[in-house]
Amino acid sequence: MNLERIRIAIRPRRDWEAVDLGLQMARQWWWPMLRVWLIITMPWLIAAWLVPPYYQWLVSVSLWWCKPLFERPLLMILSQGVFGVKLRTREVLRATPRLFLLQIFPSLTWRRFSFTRSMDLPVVQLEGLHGAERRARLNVLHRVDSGPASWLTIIGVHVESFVMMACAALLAVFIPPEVADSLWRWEFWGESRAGGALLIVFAYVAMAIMGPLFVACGFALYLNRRVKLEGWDLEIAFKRMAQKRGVSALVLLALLALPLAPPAIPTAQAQSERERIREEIIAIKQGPDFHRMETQRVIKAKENHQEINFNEGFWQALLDFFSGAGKAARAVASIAEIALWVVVLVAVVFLILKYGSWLERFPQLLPGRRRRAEYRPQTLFGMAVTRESLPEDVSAAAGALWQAGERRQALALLYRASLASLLQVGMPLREGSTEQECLRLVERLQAELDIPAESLRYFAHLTRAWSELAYGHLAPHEHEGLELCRDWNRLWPEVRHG
Amino acid sequence: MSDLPGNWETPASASEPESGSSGVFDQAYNLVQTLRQEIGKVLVGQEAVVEQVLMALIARGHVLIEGVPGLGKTLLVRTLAQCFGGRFARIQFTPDLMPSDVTGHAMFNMKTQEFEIRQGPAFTNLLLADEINRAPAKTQAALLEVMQEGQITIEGNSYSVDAPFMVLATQNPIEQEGTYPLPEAELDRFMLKVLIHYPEQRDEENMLRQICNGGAEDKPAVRPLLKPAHVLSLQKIAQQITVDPAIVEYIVKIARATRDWPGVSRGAGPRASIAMLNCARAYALMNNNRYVTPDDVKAVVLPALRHRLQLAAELEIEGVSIDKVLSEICQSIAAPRR
Repeated sequence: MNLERIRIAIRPRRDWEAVDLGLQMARQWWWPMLRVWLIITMPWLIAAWLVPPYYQWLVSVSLWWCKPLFERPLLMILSQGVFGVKLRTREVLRATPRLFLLQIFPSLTWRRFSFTRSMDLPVVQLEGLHGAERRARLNVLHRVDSGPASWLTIIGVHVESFVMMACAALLAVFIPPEVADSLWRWEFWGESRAGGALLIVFAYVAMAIMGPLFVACGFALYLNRRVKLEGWDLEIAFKRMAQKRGVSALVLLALLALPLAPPAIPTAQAQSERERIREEIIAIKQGPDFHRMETQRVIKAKENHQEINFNEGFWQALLDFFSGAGKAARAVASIAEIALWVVVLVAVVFLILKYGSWLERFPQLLPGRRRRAEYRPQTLFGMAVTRESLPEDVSAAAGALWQAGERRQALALLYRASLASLLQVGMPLREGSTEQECLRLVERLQAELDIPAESLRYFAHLTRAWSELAYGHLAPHEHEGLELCRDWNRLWPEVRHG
Repeated sequence: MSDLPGNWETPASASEPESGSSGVFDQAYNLVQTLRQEIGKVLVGQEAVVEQVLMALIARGHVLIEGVPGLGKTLLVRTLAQCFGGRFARIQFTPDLMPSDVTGHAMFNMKTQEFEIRQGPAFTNLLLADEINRAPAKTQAALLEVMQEGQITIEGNSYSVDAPFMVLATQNPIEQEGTYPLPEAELDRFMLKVLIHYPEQRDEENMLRQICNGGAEDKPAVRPLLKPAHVLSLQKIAQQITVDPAIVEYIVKIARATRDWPGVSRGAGPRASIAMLNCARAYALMNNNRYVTPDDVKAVVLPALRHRLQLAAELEIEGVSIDKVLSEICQSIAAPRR
């Protein structure tokens, strides 16, 4: 590695500055990298159009899975490019099989999901480390300034997704609305060859855009870390000095300055000279070159006002006034805090009171039998369905209505009482439920809510009779109606007895 | 026709059904069931579609059938035509089809030196408008008059089409390139929009077994069960089915709810309410009910309203379907109780 030939400005950078450098590098070597990437990945793109639709997912998954391999030739271009070596595409392609095989198994298995892949790749590819050595090296590299490496992966995933969506949106812009409608169907994207292949093309475009950027940024982070660890900047500075002044002059200076100077000076003079030099060193070290001055302004409450000595009564009075005002303000703040909490509580209570009934319309939101049992609407289908709204003896009341010729009212009472009874045992009936829907629900939840089979039969019978009377204007026979009235108390004891 | 009651044999006896007569009602119900079974022999696994098409026939409506190619849309209509002794015509809608190709036109006869009216295929009992959205709007509009009023005007003279008259149009929800979406006025004239879906695994297997046993061309024979007068009788019987005022109120509530429902930019009009009422009656007849229940109404809400509603752009973007919105509307409206 010849640092003199390096083509980028070597200096210690902050982590995101290094990422900026990576983006610059990506711009510098964009076309060579993209060209190689496209050539290497072309078989996947061709396969996307050739394989049957139900195998296209294999193409897209394998394209995504092998991304770490595609990044290696790009790193090769970059690593040579920063030292001024311009590789030809053919050379890179020739080296590609060897690069692919480099620790291929771990790279495509457990390391595939590494968030710091972009920064770790140079350790494997350029330093050739593996096993414990690689781990130790990575530990050192990751100690600081490696945060952006993980963020690069996260941002990269998002950028790729956005590019894919943008491609789809671009496609949609150029397609007439009638056809665009069918574009948003699963059948097109999930099952047709064109849809699946288009998805792969979009993913391919996104990966092609993101791949060089990802590798270059990771490589820049790696370089920055090595610059800091190994003092590349100092090394380069010394080398440049040497080149500027000539090697012989530097060596002569070193020979003269280092071992021979102290003995030539007498002791007292030397002592005073040392003192002077020490003071100068201290002065220089305290100077702005060795310190970064920062001015911070913070608001800090003074703990003890009594320590301030005011000579005049006016100032004392002013201080007392402000002190009192502060106490008053604190009191007001406490009251305001209490008031705010009260407002919040009142708002919660108001919402519960106002919209609590709305929640009852969605009994399916109440999981499990116990919660469903808590679902007790007061009215349903415009009818009062509470126990209090029913007569004490439903059978007797319905029978009396029937005998009085009020057959519709009699059956309505029986049906309403049955619904109330079902609600009591936790049946999640809704306002929009029709008679048949209620019946089907009861049949479905019969076992769960322990409704006796005889009661279910009765309810089915009652539902039919009620529907015929209510909508068909066909009253049941005399004995049938009386039987329905008579059997209610026996078959629906829950409501009657509460 | 041997398994049908004798009084169905003659149109004269069938055309005046006895009001409230249990026997006539049972005969009508049995006839509809036989018809369903007969069509079901050919169109396997599409019972709901067959039911809805027959419902529209009984309710004097027209049907728009939508489904991807190869599900038997045309086969259904052809089978219905075979069961139906009346006249049947088919128009394949193409981009160059002209209105006069549908309705007919006046032609100068050189021999008699007079203009003669040449009636188009719309002068029939059952009209299959295949792939209706492939023709431009002006050709689609040629059907507006005949669908609503049962007459066609040619050269200023109106000609009535034979009763019963029913348009069964098909369209394909995919491959929209080069198609012309039906205008709202045309859509509203269809009583039902029937969606035909892929059959179940078992039904598809049955279908293939039929082909294995009999060969691809050897479709089950369909008996002609109906005559035009029988259809008219069925329609009259359906009209006499009891509808409680609470049911009418329920139907209107549903229709009105679609107009105010958040997320619906265009709701259903009064024609939709009428369609729901007539369909609910037909549905009741098909299920051997002599009165309409809220369940009958609920059963017809989706096919009767799904093509009349326009969802707001936000809901369409979210991928909410009209059927889902209609189901929510039905759930939100209290079923009628007395």
